[in-house]
Amino acid sequence: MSVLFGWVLPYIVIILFLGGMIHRMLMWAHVPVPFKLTVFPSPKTTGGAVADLVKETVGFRSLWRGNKGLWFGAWLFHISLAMVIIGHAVGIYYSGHHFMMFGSTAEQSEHLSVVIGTYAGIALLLGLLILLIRRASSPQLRFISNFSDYLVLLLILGIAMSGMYMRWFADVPYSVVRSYLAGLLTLRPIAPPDNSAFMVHFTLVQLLLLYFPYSKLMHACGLFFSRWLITRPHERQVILK
Amino acid sequence: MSEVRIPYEAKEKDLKVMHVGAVPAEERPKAALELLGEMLKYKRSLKLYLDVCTHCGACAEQCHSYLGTKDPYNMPVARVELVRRVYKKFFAPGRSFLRAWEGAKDIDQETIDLWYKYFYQCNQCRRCAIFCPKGIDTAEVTIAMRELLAHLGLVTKFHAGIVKNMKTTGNNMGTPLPAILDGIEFLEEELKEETGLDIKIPVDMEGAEVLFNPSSSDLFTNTDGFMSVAKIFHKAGVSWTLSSRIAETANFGLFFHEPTMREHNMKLMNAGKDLGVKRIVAGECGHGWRTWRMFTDTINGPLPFPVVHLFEEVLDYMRDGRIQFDKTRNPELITYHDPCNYGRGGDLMDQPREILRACVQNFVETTPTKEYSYCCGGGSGILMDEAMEIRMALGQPKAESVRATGAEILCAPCAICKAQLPVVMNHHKVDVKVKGLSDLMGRALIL
Repeated sequence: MSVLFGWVLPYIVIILFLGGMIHRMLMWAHVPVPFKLTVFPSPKTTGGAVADLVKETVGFRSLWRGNKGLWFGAWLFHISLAMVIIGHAVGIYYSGHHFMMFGSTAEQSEHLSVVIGTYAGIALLLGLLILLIRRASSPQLRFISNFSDYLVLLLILGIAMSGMYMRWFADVPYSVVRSYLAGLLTLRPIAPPDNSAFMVHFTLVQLLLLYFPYSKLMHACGLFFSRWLITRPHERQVILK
Repeated sequence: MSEVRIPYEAKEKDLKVMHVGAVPAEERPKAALELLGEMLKYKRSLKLYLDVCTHCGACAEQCHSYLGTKDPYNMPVARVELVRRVYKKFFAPGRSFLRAWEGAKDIDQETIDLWYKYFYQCNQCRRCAIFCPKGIDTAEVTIAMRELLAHLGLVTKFHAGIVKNMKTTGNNMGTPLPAILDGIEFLEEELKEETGLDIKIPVDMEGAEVLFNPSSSDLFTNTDGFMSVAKIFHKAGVSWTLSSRIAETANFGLFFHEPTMREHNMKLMNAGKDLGVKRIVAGECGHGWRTWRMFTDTINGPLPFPVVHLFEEVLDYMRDGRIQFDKTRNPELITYHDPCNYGRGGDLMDQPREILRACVQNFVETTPTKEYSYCCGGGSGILMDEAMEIRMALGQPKAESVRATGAEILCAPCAICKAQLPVVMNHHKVDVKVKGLSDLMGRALIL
């Protein structure tokens, strides 16, 4: 079992995930844009348009304009998800000792890492629950929701819950995960951590990555393509005084 | 067809002018799939919008069509979903069970009926694009789907009639040239009577500085606005002309048929080139302005002259001191309606306000305003009589926002808005007069 789930599948998953994602983006890029679709008021320069994109991706400005409740749920979810992902990369790479770069002791660093990770995880769960309850409770939202809209939320909820379970009840040391992932990355796989919570967590993540290129999750990449259509700066042929 | 469609369908003989034939009803689903496949190859917007929507519903409460009709299919997300589900079935990547999770559904007669119904209840106002975090502009999808329907032979009687008028006479009203010339002569007499001055309205004057392209309705129904423009050119001492080939700044092709849009655009640009003018000035029309401003370069560029809007031209004169306004002549409380294709569509928000501040005494903004402004409900040519009930529902959010200002005059400088808003205001019992900005400029102009 652990050979299949721990050694073979991760490679297949990562190839399908990256390949599928890049393929979809190339498909978008190959379709022409015959007309200028800028929606005004729009930035006048490329720099301005990039700034606009940043405001949109980091601050969710459009949602803020129209629906503060949805903005809160969506923003909380996405920001905490970003923090959790960054936390995974940094925490596992430095085994929780990354805050030593800022002058803390090893112990303080590990403690800080745990505290920040826990709060980010709680925020992630909260964001997910807000989005899920919102979708399920309003007749309007149910009308526009497909099975996959719920599925994706539930899948991420499962990932977040199994992660928090490890945090609270079945601790897996960073160093064990680190050597396992390092083994995968250097093509010298070793046995995965002997922890069922970890295997559930890891497998759900792989399922999500497999589904990613075929689902609405592609908005994470498509957002930049679609927003560019309406924010790209439009140079006027005449400049009036 | 057992049921009568609203808006009425054009007959097959009326489609000849657009070079499309009617596809028999039973072959439509198959033909529609082929057309959709073609469109996905040349419209990145369409493909992206079908791919990146997350069904968050941020657009729903922002769409005047949904707010007015309360029909769930009028939520922008649900409207696009009518196409998305077919796209997921036949064009999206991935195994079929994955696509089924995304709501994939086969295409049938009913799908096409729903397309016709709901893509003619979208005003292409683009308000949803302002509120969508992915920047999905439903108007793009509506335009594409109406085009697809047109190729199946499904066009509204109203739109087909306008294309025919445009081809035969060079204006949407279908007024033949002798009648236009007659009307112009009459307006010159009116101007003489009113002002005592010899204000000319030249037609086809070669070497004029400006080719002015009004909405054809301004020549007959909103004549005050048109006469105001003549007065302004006269006062500013600018040599200007109309063209006998085209007297229509509206471009209905934009709404549902790209070849018509291109042809119309070409007609005006050629008229300008042949007359050797220095610039083309577009009159009061929202979507026409978007077409001239945003699409001309792609279709006919690069041009030997710029295309500017009447308001930009007037602002130029105003700032140079060539014309002055006396704002005491417009003492009423006046509010401004941003035509969707001036604001969101055409970067024309501050210019009309600067003119208004110069020529009216009391100005009040609606809430919401500028890029957040609601559509009048007539956008994209939903002006047919048989759709009156829907039109009134579509106009409801705008009516409420105008009522809240308590204004006596609603300045709506767009031919479609001018046709739609008086009826809407009357229906929703908002006591307000609808006027173009030209009318107000004309009243305040010091000759």
